[in-house]
Amino acid sequence: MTIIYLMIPCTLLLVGGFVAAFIWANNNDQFEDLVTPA
Amino acid sequence: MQINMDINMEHNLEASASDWTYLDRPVEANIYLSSTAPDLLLLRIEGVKCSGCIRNLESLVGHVSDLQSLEVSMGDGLLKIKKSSGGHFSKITEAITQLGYRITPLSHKDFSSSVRSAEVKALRSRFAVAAACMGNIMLLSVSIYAGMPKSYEQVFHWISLILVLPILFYSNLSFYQNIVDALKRREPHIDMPIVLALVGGSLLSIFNLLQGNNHIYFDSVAMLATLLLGSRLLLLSLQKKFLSSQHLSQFVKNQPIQVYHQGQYRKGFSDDLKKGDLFKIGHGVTLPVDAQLVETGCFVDPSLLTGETLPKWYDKGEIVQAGMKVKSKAFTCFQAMGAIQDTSLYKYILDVEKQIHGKSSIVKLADKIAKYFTLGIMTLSAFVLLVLPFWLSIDIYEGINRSLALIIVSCPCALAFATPLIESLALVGANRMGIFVKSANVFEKLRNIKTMFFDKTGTLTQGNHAFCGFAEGTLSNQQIERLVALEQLSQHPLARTLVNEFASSIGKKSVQNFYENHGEGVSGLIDGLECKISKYDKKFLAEPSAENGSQLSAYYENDDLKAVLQFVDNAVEDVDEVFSGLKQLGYKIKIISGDQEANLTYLQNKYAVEVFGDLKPSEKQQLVRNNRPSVMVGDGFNDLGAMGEADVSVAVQGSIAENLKFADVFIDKPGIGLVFQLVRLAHQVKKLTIIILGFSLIYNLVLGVLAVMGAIGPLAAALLMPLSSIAVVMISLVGMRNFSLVQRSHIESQNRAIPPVTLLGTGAVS
Repeated sequence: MTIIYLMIPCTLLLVGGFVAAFIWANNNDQFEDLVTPA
Repeated sequence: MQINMDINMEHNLEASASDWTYLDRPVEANIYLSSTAPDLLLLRIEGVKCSGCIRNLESLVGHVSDLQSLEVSMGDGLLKIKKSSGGHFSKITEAITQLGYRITPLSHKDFSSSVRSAEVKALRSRFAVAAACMGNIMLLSVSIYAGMPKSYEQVFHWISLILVLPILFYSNLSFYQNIVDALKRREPHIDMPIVLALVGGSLLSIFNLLQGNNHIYFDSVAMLATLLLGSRLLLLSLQKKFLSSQHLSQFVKNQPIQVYHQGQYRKGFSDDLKKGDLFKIGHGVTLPVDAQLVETGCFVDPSLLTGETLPKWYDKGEIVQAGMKVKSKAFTCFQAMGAIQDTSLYKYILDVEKQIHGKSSIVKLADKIAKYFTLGIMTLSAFVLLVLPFWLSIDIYEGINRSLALIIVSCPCALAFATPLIESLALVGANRMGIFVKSANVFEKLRNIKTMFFDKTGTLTQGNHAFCGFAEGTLSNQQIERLVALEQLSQHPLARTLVNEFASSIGKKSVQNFYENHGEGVSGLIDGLECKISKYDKKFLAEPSAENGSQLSAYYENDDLKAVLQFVDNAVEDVDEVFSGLKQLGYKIKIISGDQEANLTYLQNKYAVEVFGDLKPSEKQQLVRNNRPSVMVGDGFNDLGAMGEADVSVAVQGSIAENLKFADVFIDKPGIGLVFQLVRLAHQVKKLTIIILGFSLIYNLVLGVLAVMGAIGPLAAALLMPLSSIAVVMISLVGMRNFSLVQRSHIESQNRAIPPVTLLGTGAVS
């Protein structure tokens, strides 16, 4: 079960990465127009 | 000042000595200022051509004490000014005009869509962070609930604490901000119990974690924050979506015009027009400003303003009012008498827009209820926390659990959000149909007032003349060809009707010596015959028709009367449907008219309604007054008094400007079908409000009781509460959507019936 001490930080990094990516996209107006073609 | 002199000479712009003081009067400046940033004013600026201009403008910051900062965006011609607290906008704008720049304040709605999208963006980030953290906390939580070894449990709780920190210090910031603002105003706010639960739950959990016991609520806190942010994001996106498309002023703005500039006509925008500008507009365009005819005369459809059924001829040099529609073959040249903002039509439209973006009194009432509800819940929770453990002799932690669950579960979000949401959906829905409603109170009045007065001419009749046959005599094909050849050269709308009617006979004959006497008739030489078309009086007919509003034209050849052509102002299509619908809903319908009673009896027989004829305007007014509370639907000058007397006044398309000023509702589609749709909408608003208030009250009551009894814990509460908000949003959306689908099909069927009339021109705005 000690593997969990490696896995949990990995998860947190992964979460952080995805949240950062989302916020970057949001701040760059990627969600402003979801209708018209890209 | 040296600078001022230079600029005035360099640009030679007219420094208008306009009065800016209205910007300092809260009521009038309201539409220009945003409630969140009342010190900011956005202006459109003209005359900024170089960086020197920007420097000059920026130099104002030191010189005008009321001006705190200033931002020029040369690219899109925008100027943003911030006044110092206690300063006056008028002083700043005056200084700028003195520098020789032309400025126009922009209503905050004009840029509110961009502000709103910034708001949505921020909320989206907050929601994303909260959701990511919540998801991971829940993973850890589930393992703990599933029976984790004690040693790992502590570790998992600590990791949960780390994951809850971004929620507390980032995602929740908008809640904190709301509370701080409310505390400044010394008012309760619906976010208070939420923040209490979020912060209190977190602090308690940290305390317990340090103590080593397992009353930890990080999962509840994260879930509550996420779902709340989610439902607010949904609400805000909806508002953005529905309100951004609402630019009523486009009704007169953005008309396709050509503006004279530096020696030639170029495509321009009607909202840029200013006094003295020369511009050209084509057939069917609504005149955006009061303007003087410059080169030629033209026919103008005045139905929007005067309610008159027939287009009127205006001579060169005459002034045509904004809102009238130009009916001419070629482009017509005008000189503007003022800007769009000076017209009464525009002012009415602005009033309506302000209402849509502001809050109605009912919304404010719901706000108030929600606030007191909030106070009540907080008191009750304190009671549960402090008294219940001793009273029922339960664990102190159980008391905390229950009061936390109660606070979370009975937050009156649904109550606070539902009413404004339904009302704005209704106002926007009405707009989409072509109904401008001045205030949301109208919906309530329309439900409760059961007496409806309708004016006849222009309201129940189309206000359009269609060719309906020969009143006397008939014409041979040869004669029709001559008639069409003559009418084709005429600008008169009735002439167009005839040309359209006999389209197959176009171009068969040629006309010599054509002469048009505007308003009287046309004449010309065809096939050697002196042909003439002129007005004809009803009293010369052998059998005068009782049909009201019919116009007669006579066709002569060599002064010999060949035929009398009849044009009739038909009743609007949907009168039957509307009257039966209204009667089913329990409305009493009364038709009032200045027309002879004899001309009304057929209406009485056809629709089984009360009719009152031969009424002078003052008698109409008297009648409406004696039957209050009442609704008046009308258009013309003669309805003015009656509409002023009525509790709800509805101006139909073609109403005069005076009516627009105080009409509660303005309908911008032909016919009265929308009157019935408006009434239905009013009933729908009530139905939905009752459903939603009932739903959220029962929901909160049941869950509140369950929470006090200890049947649901904080986590379940955190899940259930925001669900009610989402449910409420869904109910109102579905309720209104059902309604607007009915609308669309209705309007489509109406539009399909219109085409022949649009050729004629009067009244039908496409």
